[in-house]
Amino acid sequence: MTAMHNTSPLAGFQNAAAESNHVFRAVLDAMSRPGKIVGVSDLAAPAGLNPAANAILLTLADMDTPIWLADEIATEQAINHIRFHTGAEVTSDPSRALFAIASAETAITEIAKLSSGTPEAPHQSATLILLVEDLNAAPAIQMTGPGIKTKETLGVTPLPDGFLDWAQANSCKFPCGVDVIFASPASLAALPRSSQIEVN
Amino acid sequence: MTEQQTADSYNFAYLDEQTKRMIRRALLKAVAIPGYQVPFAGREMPMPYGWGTGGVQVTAAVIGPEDTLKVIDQGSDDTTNAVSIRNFFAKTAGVPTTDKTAEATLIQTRHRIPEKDLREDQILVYQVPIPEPLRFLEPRETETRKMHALEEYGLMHVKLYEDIARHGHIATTYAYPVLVNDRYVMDPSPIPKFDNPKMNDMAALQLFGAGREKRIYALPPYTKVKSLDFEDHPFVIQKWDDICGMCGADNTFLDEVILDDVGSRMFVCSDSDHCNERQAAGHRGPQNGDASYTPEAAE
Repeated sequence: MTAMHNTSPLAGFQNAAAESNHVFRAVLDAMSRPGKIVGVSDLAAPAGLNPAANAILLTLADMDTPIWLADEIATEQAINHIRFHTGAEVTSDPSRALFAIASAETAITEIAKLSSGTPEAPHQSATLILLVEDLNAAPAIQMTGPGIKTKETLGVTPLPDGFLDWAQANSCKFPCGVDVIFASPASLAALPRSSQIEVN
Repeated sequence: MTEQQTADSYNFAYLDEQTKRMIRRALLKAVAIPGYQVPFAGREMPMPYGWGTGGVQVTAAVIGPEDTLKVIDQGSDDTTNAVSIRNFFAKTAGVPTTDKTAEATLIQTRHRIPEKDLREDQILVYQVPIPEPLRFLEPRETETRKMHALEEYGLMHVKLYEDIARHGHIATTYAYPVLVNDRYVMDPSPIPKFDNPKMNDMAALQLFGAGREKRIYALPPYTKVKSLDFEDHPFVIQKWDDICGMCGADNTFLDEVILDDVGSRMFVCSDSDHCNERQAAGHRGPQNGDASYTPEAAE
């Protein structure tokens, strides 16, 4: 017998109202305070995703939000899981996505295809959920801007090649731009387009 | 069907989960673009437009079982609008409510910012009637959207200048326009301009919901919020010759209260919790005698 990969969706939230509220408040807290690392409760993730990214998708995605998955994340199980729980369209065209899931293995040229919105409708832009292994307060990235009292530092590993250059160019497009949520397995942090970043 | 509708008949905090997701996505984009009005698919709420349907939808999307809710209407916890919204969430979300600013994690407000400084762990939700600061200058949404995109705010300065030409000073006293993060001109909702400086660099997250106009916007904590003005006509807040008749405060927003039909009046803090707290700490204003007020004693 050959080993079978499990491709079935995993369980979602036990109590949708309470658990999605917890995850949303964590994302809201992170987005309001760029660079702040916020914990999220454990929710088993399908192959390809990690628990925090999975929880964010189950909280925010639905039939109104096309999702793009980078190749290394788009396992059959992840696609089945997302379709089953959110009803969202999984698209192969990054420029159509409202949520995009990528990792350090994703080519920055793919991330650069995400929608930044238009000057008249800058909210019609993608939110990039970047899977990372570790978030810490190492002074790798220095951030200033709305939500930050003086200066915030964030260490993120690993990042796609060229990501920080892309992120700096992204913040220059304000009010257009992509908003980034870094999702490590048990925590998340955000880099909204409004943050100015300096790389150490 | 049971005879009586109970809170169990509703989803947590009234709104269905799909509606909450839609509002939550709008809120996150609003936070990422401070001062920009994000359109959202505002729902019919079990209260009329003008009673805070926007604020209620934002609160419903944000509130969790661990929250403690405070609702104020023009600073007061015990007016009709505040009481009914507080009861609405006590019933549909089962959350504890409070009238103490310091004890609340989530504060929904109509037209005031509490006098007490808010903290990082608090969220302030504003009820907004008309979110577009340029609406009375330019009625077409297609045009105001373009004006925001192009940062074309000259018309607003002309309006403030006309105030000066006509009255000798900027006569706008509430819903006084602000510039957010050096980018978007924003309507702060009809708060008195007295409250405008509190929005600047506030530790708490500020969220704005306009139900009839279906717009959500936000100010992240520690965001620069500047009231529009001119170098030779700088922005100033209201001042009163009187102090609060009940607690004696000389640095709060005061309401004028008519006491009888022969012209007697008093000024009293609009923020009832702040005033009560000061009185409990022993502060007394000139009209707060220890003897209770009777018509006989007043004669």
